[in-house]
Amino acid sequence: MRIHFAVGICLYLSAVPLAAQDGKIVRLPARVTLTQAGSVSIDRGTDHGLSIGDPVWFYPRGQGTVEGRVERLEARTAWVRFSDPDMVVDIGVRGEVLLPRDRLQKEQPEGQVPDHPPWPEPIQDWDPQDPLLKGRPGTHPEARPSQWGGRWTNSLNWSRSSEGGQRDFAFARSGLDLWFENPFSQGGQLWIDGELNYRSVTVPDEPDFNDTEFRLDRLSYAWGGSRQQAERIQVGRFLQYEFPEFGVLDGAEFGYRLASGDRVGASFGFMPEPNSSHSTGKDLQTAVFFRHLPLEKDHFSIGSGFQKTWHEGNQDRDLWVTTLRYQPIYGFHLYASSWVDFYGSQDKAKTSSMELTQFQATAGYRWQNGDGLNLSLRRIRFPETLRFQVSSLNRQALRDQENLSLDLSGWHQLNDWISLSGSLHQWSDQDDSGGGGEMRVEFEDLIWSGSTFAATAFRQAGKFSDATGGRLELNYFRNSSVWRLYWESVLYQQAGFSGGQADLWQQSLRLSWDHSFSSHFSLSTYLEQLFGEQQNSTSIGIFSQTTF
Amino acid sequence: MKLRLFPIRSWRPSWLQSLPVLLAATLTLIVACVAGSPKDTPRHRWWAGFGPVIPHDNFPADCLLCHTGKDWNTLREDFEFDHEAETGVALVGAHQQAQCLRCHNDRGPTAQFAARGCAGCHEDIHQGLLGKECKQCHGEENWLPTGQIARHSKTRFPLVGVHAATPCFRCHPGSEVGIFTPTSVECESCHADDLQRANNPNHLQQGWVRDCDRCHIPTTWKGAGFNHSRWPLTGAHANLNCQRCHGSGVYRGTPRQCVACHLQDYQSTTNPDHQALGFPTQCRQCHNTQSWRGATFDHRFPINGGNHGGLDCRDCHTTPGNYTIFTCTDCHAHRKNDMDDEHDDVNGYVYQTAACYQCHPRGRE
Repeated sequence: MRIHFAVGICLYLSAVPLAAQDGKIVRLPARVTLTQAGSVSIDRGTDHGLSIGDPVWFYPRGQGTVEGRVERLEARTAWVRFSDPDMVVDIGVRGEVLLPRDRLQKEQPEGQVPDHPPWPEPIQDWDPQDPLLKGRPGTHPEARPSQWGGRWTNSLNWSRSSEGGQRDFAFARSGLDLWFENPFSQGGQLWIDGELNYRSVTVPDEPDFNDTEFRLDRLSYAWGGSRQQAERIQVGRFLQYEFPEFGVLDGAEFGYRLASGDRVGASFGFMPEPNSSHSTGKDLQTAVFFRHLPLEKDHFSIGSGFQKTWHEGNQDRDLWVTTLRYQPIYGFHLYASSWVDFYGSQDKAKTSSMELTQFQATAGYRWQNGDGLNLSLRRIRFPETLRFQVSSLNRQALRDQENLSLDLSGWHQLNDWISLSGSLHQWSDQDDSGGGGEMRVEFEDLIWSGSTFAATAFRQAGKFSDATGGRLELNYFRNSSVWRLYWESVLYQQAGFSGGQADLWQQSLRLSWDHSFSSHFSLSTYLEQLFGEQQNSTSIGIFSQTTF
Repeated sequence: MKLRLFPIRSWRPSWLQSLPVLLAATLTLIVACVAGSPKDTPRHRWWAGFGPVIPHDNFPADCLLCHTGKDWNTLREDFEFDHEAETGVALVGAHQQAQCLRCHNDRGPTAQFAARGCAGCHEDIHQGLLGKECKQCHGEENWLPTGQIARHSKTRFPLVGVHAATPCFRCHPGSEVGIFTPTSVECESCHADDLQRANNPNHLQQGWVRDCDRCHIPTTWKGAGFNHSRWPLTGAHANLNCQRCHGSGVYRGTPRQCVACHLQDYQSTTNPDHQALGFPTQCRQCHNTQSWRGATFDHRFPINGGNHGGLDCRDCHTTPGNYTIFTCTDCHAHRKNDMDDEHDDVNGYVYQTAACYQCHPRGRE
């Protein structure tokens, strides 16, 4: 009996290799491509003859043989499930699929592997001694085929306010952005951005205002600045590349990258007015700049530039801008920028020879779990310039007015479905000071799956009004749509008002919908109603964006 | 020398002035909708000859997971890549549909650009004026800014009343091109035209060119709420033009007596003739602020109710122009025979008005 049992065991143990050897079973090599606890995917599928239920053996280092069964199949991928749901097999681990030979021969006829076409570009700087996976530099920009793309946007916003007389505002815009890669076989880029705007304003005591205006935002060509070319040149109308703080330019900018990675350059040209017309020809500028940007230490850069402008031939602004970025460790960032104006005898309002016109700094830290803190400081004074200014300020205002603000904000994920955020703000100006804070709590999937619900309470002491209120927000994400419902209720108390209507309870309700119909077309629309004491207005808007 | 290269500002065809433009914009949107066919742009857009820009050394060994096998430039139609699962970085909003090569190209390591935040890839059209925290205003779905009113509440100038319903460009003229140059929050900076127009009262004449918030609330420029509590504006005074009382443009020292404004009313009143009858000029004794008419003189002899209620002045004051003279005996209800019968037991009774008033000063029996 014992002899018969031993013989039986031996015959059984030898059955598989015998079968493999006699051609009935084939071991098809495979490799793990994706992994998760309890299952993996392998680089074999129905094209290789696999069927659901086929056994697969894996050989992870130090773990012996792990067996799984094919659970799901695609042409060249199979998902294999292990009996142990906690089993993890790493990507790249080799394995074998046990297949009947006849299935393998039927599913994988020879001669079907396509031949690779000739490589269109020769491999540059290739050395037979190079390792197989040596990084290959990209093709030179001028050798690439021309490409083009763009974006077409349309929007319409209309609002009517009936408090204190009817006020109607309408603003429609249609914009087209086009970019061309390597259009002239020089490796350059051409941009064309333009926009047609229509505005209509009807307010009491003022004549109705209608304006249709075409504005060219950008028509520029740039080349260089790539890994292969240290110099970069851009001409036309464009936002200055190295120092956007210097504004839009009708002219040329030249930049050069030094061997150390630092960049120097200059720009020259007219400055379109910083408003909706972008009319040009009044202000001429020239600027020089330097940016320290170590190639190997991208966590730090500091740049400084000087801009000199003339308005209709008269000397106008001498501006010195400095920007700094510092990211020494993961999660921490510091950005700072300063605008310093120099004044001379031609300036009437400013008494000092130089002034820190604007300064802003932001420092933040984000922990690995997503929590974060942010601190921002901002100081603003008004420069004295001949160039178009937004506010018509008299000399005293130019001399005295300033604003200093400090903001501290933070956010914390309490658990999987509750997050908290809050902020504290403080401001001061030449006359007054104030501040406030807000606290927000957001719930995920509280009402529906795929939705967020947030409640906010806030208080702010402003210069003229103190605001105390709350907000409720409901967002619902479904497929490619986002629905948002927003309600805000605020008690505004007029600080210096000597009449009897100092307190106003006002509210707003807004519903919006954003939808992506495809990867290149999206539509957004909203409806908003402001109501409450001495407030009644309705706004609607629609926005579409097509990319191509 | 003035060069005006762009824009074509004077191009204002008349038919583009009002509603038709809105219709045209709507039509444009419809066209955009139609043009937006459901066919997706391939997310890869691999350029022939571009080479393996993204390092492949940690990719799965099976090239056919992504490539078709015909060449290295064509990816499989069913190519899918779970960016969050594979890299730990979730792609949100429009980034989900972005072409891979917009970020993963040969301009440098993507991680370095991403570490700089939005500004690592997106041009700062705000020209550095708004800082680097783009997400405070922009969403990742379509980059449209939202929540400006709530954000403005954190500044020294919360948008109250009509300010909340006013487009940004009214206060920030460069906002259409993304330039939010700091704007003065002093009222007169934006409301200089309103200040010029204000002639009731004439603000400039009065020197009222600052501190608008003392009289105006932010809901509307009209209907200033100056605290007139020293001389409350009640009744008909509530809606009067300031000039009706302060016509000379002098606000301080305006007399508070009614007759200072209502002297002409006093002199022209004939029923009764205030002047002829020597009525006092303390108008409030008889008049209220609701109306000059319908005075409520505090009649010593009660005529506001009871048997004598509703009488006309002339029923008792039968001598025109003289309200010091009155008669009780001419009244139909006080006929002599009836009064004699009623007073037959009253010692010293005489049928005379003065005697009536002496015994019945309140008009009661």
